[in-house]
Amino acid sequence: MPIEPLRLKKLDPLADLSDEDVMERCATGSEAGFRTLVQRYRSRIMNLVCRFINDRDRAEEIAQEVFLRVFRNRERYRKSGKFSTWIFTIAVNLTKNEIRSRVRHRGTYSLDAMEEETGGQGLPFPDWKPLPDEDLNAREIQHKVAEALRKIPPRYREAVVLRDVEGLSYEEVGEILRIPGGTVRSRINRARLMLKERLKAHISLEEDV
Amino acid sequence: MNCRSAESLYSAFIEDELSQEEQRSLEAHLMGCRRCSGAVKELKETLVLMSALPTVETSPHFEEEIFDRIRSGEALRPTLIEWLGDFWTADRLRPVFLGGAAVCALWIAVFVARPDTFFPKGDAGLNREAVAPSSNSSDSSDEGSLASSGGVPAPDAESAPATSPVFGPRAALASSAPVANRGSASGDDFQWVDSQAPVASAGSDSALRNPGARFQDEYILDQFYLDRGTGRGAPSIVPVSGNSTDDVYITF
Repeated sequence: MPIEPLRLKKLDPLADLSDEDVMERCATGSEAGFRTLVQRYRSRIMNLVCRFINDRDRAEEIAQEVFLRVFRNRERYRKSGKFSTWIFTIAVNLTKNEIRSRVRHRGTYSLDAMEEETGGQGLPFPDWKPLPDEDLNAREIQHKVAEALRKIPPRYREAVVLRDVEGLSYEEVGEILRIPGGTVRSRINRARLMLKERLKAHISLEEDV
Repeated sequence: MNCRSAESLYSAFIEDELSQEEQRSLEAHLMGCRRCSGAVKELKETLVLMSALPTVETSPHFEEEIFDRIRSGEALRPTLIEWLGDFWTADRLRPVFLGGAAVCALWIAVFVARPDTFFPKGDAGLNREAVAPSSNSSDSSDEGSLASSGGVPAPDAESAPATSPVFGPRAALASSAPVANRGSASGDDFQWVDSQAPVASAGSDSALRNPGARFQDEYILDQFYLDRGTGRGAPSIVPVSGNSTDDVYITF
């Protein structure tokens, strides 16, 4: 039994390398390197995009496009910057384009567009993978949190998602969104206050339970 | 500290990012404000709920679809924005900037070494035909015949069109210069010496002897200028006013 992990480690020589080192190999034409990066970031990118826009299928398309852009621009990547910041920047920019496109095509995406633009009421967030063991109440609260997140204005949403969902530092959030540190902190605080107001009832429910 | 300023510090307080002074000030406020202390607790709960959000997973075919798109060549086609971004990179623009800098440097070098290129001497820079006052058509016609007769060499209208820019003192002169050198045309060769501004200065003499040299003394009392002409013609003093009735022409 202890042999198996050792064999697995040998199979993936890139497992111990940092993202930046793997990306460097990818830039020199390593398909294995690119595959490693896709495996490392696919969930985070999908999660990020899906929290920004309210369309799971479209989110997956955008997430794929993010990786395709990484592949296309692999030679332009500079190792001096963090790979995570670079790929999140690509993802945020593509997602912003998607939101702008929806707002422009208001006739086609009237509900979504209004929702994205104003952070107002909208359709419920698509269900994520079913978790059979999960408590029904917990799932309902998760659904309410996702819905509350979807309803706050995009500029606050993107900051709080990067910080509280993706767990990035304030500096990384500022770098990705190209806004100064003070603005990042202010937006995140404001977004959290908005979420708190929307989740107030459920927070009390949680405390009672 | 009031509730409004306290509210802006909630996140930093929860994440322990406040300075000691801010921390003490906010804690003092929270001790006395139930609304704010309750809000901080709710905010902490909100963050717990946020962290409990499940990850949205990709479909099982996500990875293979990406590689299929790469193999099909789709990933190798840059979008318009990417193409423009590629085009305007520093690497591509560097030759353009270097080329521009080289042209500027060359222009400055020529300007310093050969100022005559930009401020032509003689008639080349002062297109007398081109600047002829339109109010006196007879003078204009005279000029053509006089110039062709050899008194003052006719300027080349094609090489110095009416709209060609004239720089420096000649610009002011050109705007009001007369068109004909009647003294020269009539063959009245005499010397005229102004007491305040003698024409026969050392500089002018040397310039006259050397037609290629740039002539410096072209202003004479702001009323006349010295038209040196080309090497073939005789220099003449021409009134600036352009009034054909009272002007004086002196040829050398």
